[in-house]
Amino acid sequence: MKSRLKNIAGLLALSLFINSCSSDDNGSAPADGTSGDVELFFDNGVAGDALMLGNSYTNSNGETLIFERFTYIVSNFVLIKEDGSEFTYPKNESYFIINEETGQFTVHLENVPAGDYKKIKFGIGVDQQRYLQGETAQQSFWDLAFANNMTWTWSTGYRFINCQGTFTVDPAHGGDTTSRGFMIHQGSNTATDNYREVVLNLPTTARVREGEMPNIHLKSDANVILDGDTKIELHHNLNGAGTAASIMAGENLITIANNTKKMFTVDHVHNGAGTHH
Amino acid sequence: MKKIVYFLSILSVLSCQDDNGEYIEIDQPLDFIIPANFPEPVQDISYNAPTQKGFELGRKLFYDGRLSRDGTVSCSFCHEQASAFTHHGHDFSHGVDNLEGLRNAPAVQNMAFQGEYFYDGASSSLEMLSIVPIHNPVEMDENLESIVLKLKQDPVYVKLFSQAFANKEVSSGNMLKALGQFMTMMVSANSRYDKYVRNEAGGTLSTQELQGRALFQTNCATCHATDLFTDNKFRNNGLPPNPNLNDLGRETVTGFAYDRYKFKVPSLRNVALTAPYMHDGRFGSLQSVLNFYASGVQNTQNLDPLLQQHPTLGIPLNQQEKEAIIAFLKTLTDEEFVSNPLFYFRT
Amino acid sequence: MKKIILTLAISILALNAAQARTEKDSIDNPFRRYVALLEEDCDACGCSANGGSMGFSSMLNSNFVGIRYIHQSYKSRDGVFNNSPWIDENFNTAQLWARVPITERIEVMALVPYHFNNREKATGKENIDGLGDITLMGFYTLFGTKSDSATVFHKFQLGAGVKAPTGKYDSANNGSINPSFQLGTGSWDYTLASEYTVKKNNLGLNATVNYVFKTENEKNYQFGNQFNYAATLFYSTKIDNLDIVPQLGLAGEKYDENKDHGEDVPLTAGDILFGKMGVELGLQKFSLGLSTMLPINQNLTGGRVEANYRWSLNLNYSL
Repeated sequence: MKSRLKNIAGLLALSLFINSCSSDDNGSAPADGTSGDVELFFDNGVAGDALMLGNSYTNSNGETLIFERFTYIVSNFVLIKEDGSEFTYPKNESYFIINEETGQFTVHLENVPAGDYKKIKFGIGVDQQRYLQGETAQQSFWDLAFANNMTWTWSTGYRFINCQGTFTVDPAHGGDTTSRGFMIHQGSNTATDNYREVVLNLPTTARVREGEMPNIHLKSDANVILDGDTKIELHHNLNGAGTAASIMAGENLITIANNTKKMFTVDHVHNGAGTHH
Repeated sequence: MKKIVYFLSILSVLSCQDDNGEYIEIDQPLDFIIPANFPEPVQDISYNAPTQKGFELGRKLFYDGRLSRDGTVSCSFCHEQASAFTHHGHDFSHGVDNLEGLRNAPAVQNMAFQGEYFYDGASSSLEMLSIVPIHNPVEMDENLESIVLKLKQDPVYVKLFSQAFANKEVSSGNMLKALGQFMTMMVSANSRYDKYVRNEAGGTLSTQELQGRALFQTNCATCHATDLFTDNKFRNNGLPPNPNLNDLGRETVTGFAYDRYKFKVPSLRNVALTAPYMHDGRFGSLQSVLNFYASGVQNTQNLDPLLQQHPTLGIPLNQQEKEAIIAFLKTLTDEEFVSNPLFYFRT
Repeated sequence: MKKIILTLAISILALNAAQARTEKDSIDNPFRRYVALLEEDCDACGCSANGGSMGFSSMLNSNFVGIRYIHQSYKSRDGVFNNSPWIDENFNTAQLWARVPITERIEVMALVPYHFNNREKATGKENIDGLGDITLMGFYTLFGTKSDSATVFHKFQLGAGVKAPTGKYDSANNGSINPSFQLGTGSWDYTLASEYTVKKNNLGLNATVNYVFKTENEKNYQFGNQFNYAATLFYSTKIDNLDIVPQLGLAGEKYDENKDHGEDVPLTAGDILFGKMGVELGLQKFSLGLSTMLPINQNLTGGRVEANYRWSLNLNYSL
């Protein structure tokens, strides 16, 4: 009996001992001078549902939209630590296009200093400083933007958001049943700077370490473009002939710039394992 | 202008020899001289500082129809040097497939001194603005990638690009830069009026011209300001909108209703050469322009307050005053500019 | 006398809320002993992938070995949107366990699981197979009715144990909606348990609570501590030589939030309440058990994982 008791006690003690040995913190602290990669995955949605091209979505303005194109530029990425210190990604490399049509959803940042990041900041579109540097300062990005339908031709500059498709309006909101095309080309022009930046909290820390790449999974909400803090109704923005809605200039772009500050949230952060699941 | 010619001629002599005995021309920077009576440039010259080879390349491109889809329409097609780089006698220009445009070709001169380009200010970058006519389906109807492909086939271009740019690439970025450099150097500041203002030889104005100048300063110089003869702002001068075009002007770019029917105040330099006048070329002569200002201004949406100072809208002028002003405006013609071989390229 | 004792065989339902199983235990020779069901609870949230389960027998000195097969069915939302598709997740376990009495009041239990889990995501099928976390527990009977002739029998036991990280933990699975799709927690976890059984005539009640303390694993991930409770009614009866013990009860689990590098991972806490029923059959030295659990109420992983049901089948041999 006693020996048996001793055996049990010994067994338990041993297991505790082993455990205490094995649960040492495995170098969680970042080593100075090292760096790693960060991946951001932009998961497009509309009012909480996944965005699928060809699918219809009805907003609170009584307008039902079918998206056929949803492309946007995100830029000027900054990673922020708990103490407020920032790492700004090299500007020349910091312009990316997210394109639902071509399935381009990822922003891959390289050589980010190892550390624990709690927030991210980035811009929607192209900032004036960059835009004024002209096409040649950003040749490869300009070419990429042109290939993704993100440049203007009747004006000079980038489209920050290219959102196109068809829509119908609920009769209760003054519509008929006709399906019309819509084009929303958000951007700056020589009168207005519509570039905006957003700061987002990460629900858990993104740990950048050598050989460890956190994946930051963001969600976008395309609905806020028209149905955000300030509403824009497509059927109040028809062209002269009333055949299609076109939003490419003026007050609407300022409204959209403001609405889209709420277009992104971070859903979760996945540390260490690498790519998007 | 003289100084530019001087510099360029010096530079063209400079060359160096490589080991193989071939002459390799060094791409020398060009000096951008600001005329004494001009305000500071609005564009930052250093962004795209003109160099000799860049300038040459830009000039060649400016005169090259390959920038258009079917190879027929070059920049020079609508921007002819003899007319101070406007389209002589055309209210609207025709582009590829003889398609007609909706606006009068403006003069390409003193570009570095402007903040925004085109009547509606579609571009604020000297480097980027070429994109607009290139892409316009009724002008050149082309895209940058196709142009680059065409240029890459031409060994002359390949060589020029490699000489003009550090990365030696035939790229759309470099092409736009070259055009920008060419346009930067197109400074027109040697009219008889300029010589008068700067007290240079050949700068005398007649009595009528001086009277015209005085009248101009009182009645016109608020909008057509400085020795650039524009304040670079967008204004509605009371032109009744053409119902066929319904050109909204600045509103096309900004989208704001308060910009409707406003167009950029053009520079009046070389105005004697750039008929017809206004954004849609509706006036064939300076006489009809002044007739309009004296008695044709209409109270359209956003009419400029400066044209609402008198009992009748516009600027009251009698015939004698109009003639004096016209005489003065003719002194703004810069013969050197429109005949300078440096801005010409025989294709 | 022996028959009475036999009929007094108390089913013990190991309740770890995840899987409850009742077993009858009987005094030996020729009584049957039924192995206490050990809960292998695949914690639904913060799946410690077979967290410790408690099981115990009401009688002393019971030895047995057994094998059990458990099937758990879940669905989880594969995506971050409200309309993201729900996919099926299947957790299948084959377990070996044994129970060894050390002294009159003390017994030790060991549990060795082997898992075959699968799920089909939009991107393709995923399978993980392998050894799970091995559990070792010790129980001490504080008091128990010894007299064979008593009308009402009580037994109260306290237990403590440890679960070893023998099952593979793959941190790549943590990015997905259900971080519990694992073979093991990768950590050493510790359990405290208590169980009380009372029986009068043929009817009995078994109640158990236990608490699992989970630690941080090598990848600095820590599943949330877990609280389990259960109550089961059982009825012992017999037809000829066959013992039959039907059971009915409730089992609940409550999970704290998981932690990643010490930081709370949002939406990983949860709770669930099951109704369960089962039956055990005993013949000579063998016993066969079957049980099923259906959720009554649940809120797992922030509503992104749902338990459909659990069932298990076991075969024991008393030594």
